[in-house]
Amino acid sequence: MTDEKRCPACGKPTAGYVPCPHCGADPEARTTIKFALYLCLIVLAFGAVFFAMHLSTIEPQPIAIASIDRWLDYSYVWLEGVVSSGPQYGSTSITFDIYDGSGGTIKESSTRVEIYDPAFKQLISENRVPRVGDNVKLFGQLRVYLDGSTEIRVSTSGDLHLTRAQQVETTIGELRTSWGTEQSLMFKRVSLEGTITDVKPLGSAKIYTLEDNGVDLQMYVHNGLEAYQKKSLNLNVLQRIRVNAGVSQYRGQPQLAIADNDEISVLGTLPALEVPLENINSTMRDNFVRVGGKIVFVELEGERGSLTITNRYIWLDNRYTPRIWLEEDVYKLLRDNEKKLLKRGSEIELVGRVRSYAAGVGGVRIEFLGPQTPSLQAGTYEPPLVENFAAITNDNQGDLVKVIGTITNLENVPKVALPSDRKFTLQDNYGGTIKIYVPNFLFERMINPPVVGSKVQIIGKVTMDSGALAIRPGVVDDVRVVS
Amino acid sequence: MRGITHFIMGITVATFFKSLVVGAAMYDSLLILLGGIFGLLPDTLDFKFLIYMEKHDVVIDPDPTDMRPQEIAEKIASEIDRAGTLQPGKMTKVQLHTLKLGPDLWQSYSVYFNTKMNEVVVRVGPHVTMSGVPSFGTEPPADKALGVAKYKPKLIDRYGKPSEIKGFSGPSFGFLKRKDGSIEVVFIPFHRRSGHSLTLGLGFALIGYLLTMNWIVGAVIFLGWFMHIVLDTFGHMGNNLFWPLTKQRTSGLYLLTAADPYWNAFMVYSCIAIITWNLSLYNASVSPSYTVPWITALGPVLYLFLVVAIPWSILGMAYYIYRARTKERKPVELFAPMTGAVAQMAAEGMMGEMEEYEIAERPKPSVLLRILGIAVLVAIFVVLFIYGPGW
Amino acid sequence: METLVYLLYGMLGVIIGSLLSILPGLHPLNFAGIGIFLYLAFPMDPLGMALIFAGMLIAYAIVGTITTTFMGSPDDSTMYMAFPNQKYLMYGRGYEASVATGIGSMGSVVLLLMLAPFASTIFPIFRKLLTPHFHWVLIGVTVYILQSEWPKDWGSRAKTRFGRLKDGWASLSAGWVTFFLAMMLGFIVLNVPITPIDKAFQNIMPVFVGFFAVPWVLTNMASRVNIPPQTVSNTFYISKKDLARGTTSGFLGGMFAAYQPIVTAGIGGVLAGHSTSTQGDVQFMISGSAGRFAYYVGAFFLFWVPLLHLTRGGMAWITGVIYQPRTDSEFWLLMAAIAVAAVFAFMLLVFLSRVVAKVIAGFSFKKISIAVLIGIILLVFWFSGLEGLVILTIATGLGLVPPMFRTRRLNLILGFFFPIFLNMAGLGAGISRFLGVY
Repeated sequence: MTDEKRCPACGKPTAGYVPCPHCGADPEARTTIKFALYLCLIVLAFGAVFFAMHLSTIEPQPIAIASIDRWLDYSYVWLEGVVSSGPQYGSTSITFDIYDGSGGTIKESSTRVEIYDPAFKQLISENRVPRVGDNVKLFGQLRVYLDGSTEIRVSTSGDLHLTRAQQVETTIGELRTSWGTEQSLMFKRVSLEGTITDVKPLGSAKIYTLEDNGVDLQMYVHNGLEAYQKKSLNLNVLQRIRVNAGVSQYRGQPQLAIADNDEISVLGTLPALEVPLENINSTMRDNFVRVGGKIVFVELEGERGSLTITNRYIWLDNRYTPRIWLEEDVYKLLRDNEKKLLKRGSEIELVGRVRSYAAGVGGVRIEFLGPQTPSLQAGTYEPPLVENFAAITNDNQGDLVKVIGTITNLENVPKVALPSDRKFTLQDNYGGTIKIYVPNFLFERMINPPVVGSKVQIIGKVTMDSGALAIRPGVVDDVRVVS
Repeated sequence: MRGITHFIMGITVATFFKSLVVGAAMYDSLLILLGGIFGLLPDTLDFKFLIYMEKHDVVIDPDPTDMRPQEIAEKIASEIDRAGTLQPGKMTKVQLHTLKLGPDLWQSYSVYFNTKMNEVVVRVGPHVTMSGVPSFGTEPPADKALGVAKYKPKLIDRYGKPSEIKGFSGPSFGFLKRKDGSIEVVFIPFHRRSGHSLTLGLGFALIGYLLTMNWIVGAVIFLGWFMHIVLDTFGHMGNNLFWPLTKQRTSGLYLLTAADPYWNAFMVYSCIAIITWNLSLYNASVSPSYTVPWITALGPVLYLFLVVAIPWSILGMAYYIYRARTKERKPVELFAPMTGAVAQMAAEGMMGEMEEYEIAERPKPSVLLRILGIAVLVAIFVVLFIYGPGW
Repeated sequence: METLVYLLYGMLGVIIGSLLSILPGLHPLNFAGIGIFLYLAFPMDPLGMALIFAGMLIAYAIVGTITTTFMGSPDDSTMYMAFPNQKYLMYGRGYEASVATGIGSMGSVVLLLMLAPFASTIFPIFRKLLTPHFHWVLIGVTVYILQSEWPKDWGSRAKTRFGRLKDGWASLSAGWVTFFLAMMLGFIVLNVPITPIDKAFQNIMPVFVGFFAVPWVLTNMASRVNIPPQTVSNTFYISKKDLARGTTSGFLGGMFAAYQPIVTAGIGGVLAGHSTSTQGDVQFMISGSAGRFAYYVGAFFLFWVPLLHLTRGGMAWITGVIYQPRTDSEFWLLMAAIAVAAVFAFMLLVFLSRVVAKVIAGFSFKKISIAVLIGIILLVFWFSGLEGLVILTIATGLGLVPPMFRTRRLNLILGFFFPIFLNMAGLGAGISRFLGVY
């Protein structure tokens, strides 16, 4: 039997039948292995073209930040831009924003960058932490949230290519002027001088106010910075400093962003006016003054609509001198021992700024500004005891008094959606009574609040409440349950 | 058309309803699927229920080891004769069974109505696979290969070709007595009748509406169903559109062949293209991130022209040229062994899809009617494109 | 040009993958686990390792068909090929079947390479549009598969209408029961950590093996068939039409499965096969292998498409731990590596098929099946412990239902993953709580 009569598929004799009676193969409709070979050659030709494309596109191509869309969530991309804010130091990561000008607004053209441990610690050790104004090209995973905000997460330090920015010498005045026109210094690195005139502590950062020739500028120092710096910042109000930092923008206004404590150098400290407290009046408005005296009363003020304390007034020496106004956030910046001593009876010396205040004594108040370390010495002071409440008259309004008596009645003064203020009726040994008005933010902080029948000692200022005289304590300690 | 074509067409018409697409995206609604389910339901009803409800007057179930074609022919011929004695409009029905020999092995035979000679011709064929590939050497001896039997009435069989009985389940024939006394051959009489009527579709839509009191649910059910009927009508065999008011199937419009892979693939592709358009348009109400603005910017006409018409015209031409130049060759299949996993899998019939039953049983309708058929389809889509965004 | 060495990494992956894919029952899920083991044992350039992984997948998709053809232990992606391939084996044409499937894979490679330049344009469109709609698409796929199954009574002989209805619905209801039981298993296995924590990601392997490979092997064990002498021929019964239709259908189905989460190659294959009317042994072989290649390698490919970065499939997840594609350049490098590795894998397939075809003649299918079964059990034990063997036993029980009642095996995989579809539609947690597995 010849080969021609064998089935090419199963190898059995076909006796000339088509298709093969054994396996059904059609010996006349066959494709040779050459066909597979041609397929392989086509595939290899594609491979060669793609390899050439690989060689020609080695340089990574960043995408425009404005083109980031929700569907790119979890994608890995290259981005390139100038650092526009931050860095903010966390315990496991640093974050900053970059801007590439690809969108119509700054928001559209910006995205948050997050670099995790160990990459960010490596960046710190290599002194490669990006600063505002630097150019970065980075590779990471995008997150695109439902609210439209975006973030790119960089996992290795090698994925961040950094080009440090050149520094521009300028002044706060020039910066402000340019900001109003072409914003040429936005997201640039600048070197300028200014005087620290205030600090606003936020949850995660401190915002210093720098002033120069009557023009001010905010300086952002992230709290997390401290943990990674060799040199600690010890800034005080009225210090003249030189800052080499990037200019970011916050709510349309320029803001210096500090990436390293070395960016700030202290040039000196400007003196405050030494003026006796009683001589301070509205003509000295906006001047810094160094004042001192004995604290005779501390009066807390609460926020409307909550139990939060917003600020405190400190009365020095007597009721006739301008009072010191201390914002609660600045108070929180004080050390613990300073907070403990900042109470009735202590001697204090501080730097403050005279501000007009219609309700203040002499139309002014002195604002205690941070950062500063006031001089404090412990002492005691109590206002005179008034045994017979009948002796307190309308003429005593504004006086500080001490009273002791028994609570005979407790009245709630309702507050919307908050605990009530309390109004006690205090009775003296002579049968006379006076109201004690305790605002809710004080009463709710009392560990052992007085009840009807309690004998209490109250220190407070005489005031009017609903047409009747009342005594209003300043702090929790002004209300003491005697028995 | 094939099941997947009907299913995706139903989904397609459902995606024209903006509230359904937005509801699916925002509230995980599954109402869109009603379009697909009811789009496929007519065939589901026919082949999973109505096929079993048919009453047969004669069942032809030969012994595959002893095929007697003459006996088969005579039985069929006598049923045709009996049909001649019925009242006009009445029908006798004959069921022909397939004959399974192995997991993927069937005894084939065919039935042909020779209307010129008034003969039923039954031929016994070789053993075949489910898809009809013959096994060499299994042809019957000449004396057992052919059966011919005479019948008396005038028989009308527009199909005019032998019907092969091989794999799957066998066909049934109805012999319908007409007013003029002639007998018409009705292929698989249960198919494309009540289960493919617009009236039943309306009934389902009404039930859907009453259950939800939401007209959109009713509309989606009816449109899914309606598109099935329209697509089937485009083939060679029509539907009994207004059962029970009408009794017989209409003619198909002969615009395409229902089982043709080209038309089915074209329909599936076009549906995906339209769904893409609808999602891009309606997703904008969910989030701009889920839309493709350039698709919407093209407008529906230009979009469909670029995405559907151009590529499929090219493919169509290539397909036409290929078919003109190449002799159609049936794909070769081998018989499954009698035992083992392959045998069992052959028995499952998992490989293929249900066969599309369609024959050209009536003459081609007029050109006007055929154009009208296309106009109906176009009108439906124009209405959906225009009004869908408001629904 | 020094990056040419990366192409060798792809080929190295093919060699490793070929050695592994010869083991019956091994799934790419295991490849991912083995991949991590390799990386930990031999720390190296992550890009090189990622390309080794690509080579392993290519080997699984191309060389792995030898196991399907000659030993028969299919998974859901090879069920469609196992049927015609083993038929060919029984006619002495195992080698031809093996090479034909390889040609199908090569067709898929060509389509994937042709798709590559447009991938970063096309896929984002579907990603944007489908992201809020995955749930109904997946549930719709399930509904279609269940609704489109037809009765397997092959013409009921029952006398009454009810009797015929009962016959017709025997296989259909078995299909629904299969789906339901697989869904119950899915709720348990996908919610309760049954296998040891360190092997948790291999949880699904015993399920897949139990659903598909073991029932197949058990059925073959019951047969008394000897493998006939195999012919090694240099010609094949593949027409251009078979190749074009099979490859297109398989590629579309495979890419759909690769893109759409949870959908497997088997499901994608059915949908694409129905859409393009695939028919005949050769078209099934080609579309099956093209779909398998598109599913496994396509899913990995999606991970590299610039900007798209879809993580689909176990290998992409594992690769994501050690490496992220960074540039367009690396994507093109992957494509070049796929091209070279695929040709290498195809040549290995041709060579190994010749060797196996010569060796295997005369073997009893029963003995081969016993050896394969032992291999499968050992592998499952190795990868997922005793608990895995318990899951394997349960899954095998379920896997035997479809062949016994002539219903679609695909219902197993659909049912098993249905809890995830329900989760996507916001319904899964409630049902899990009801079942006490949440």
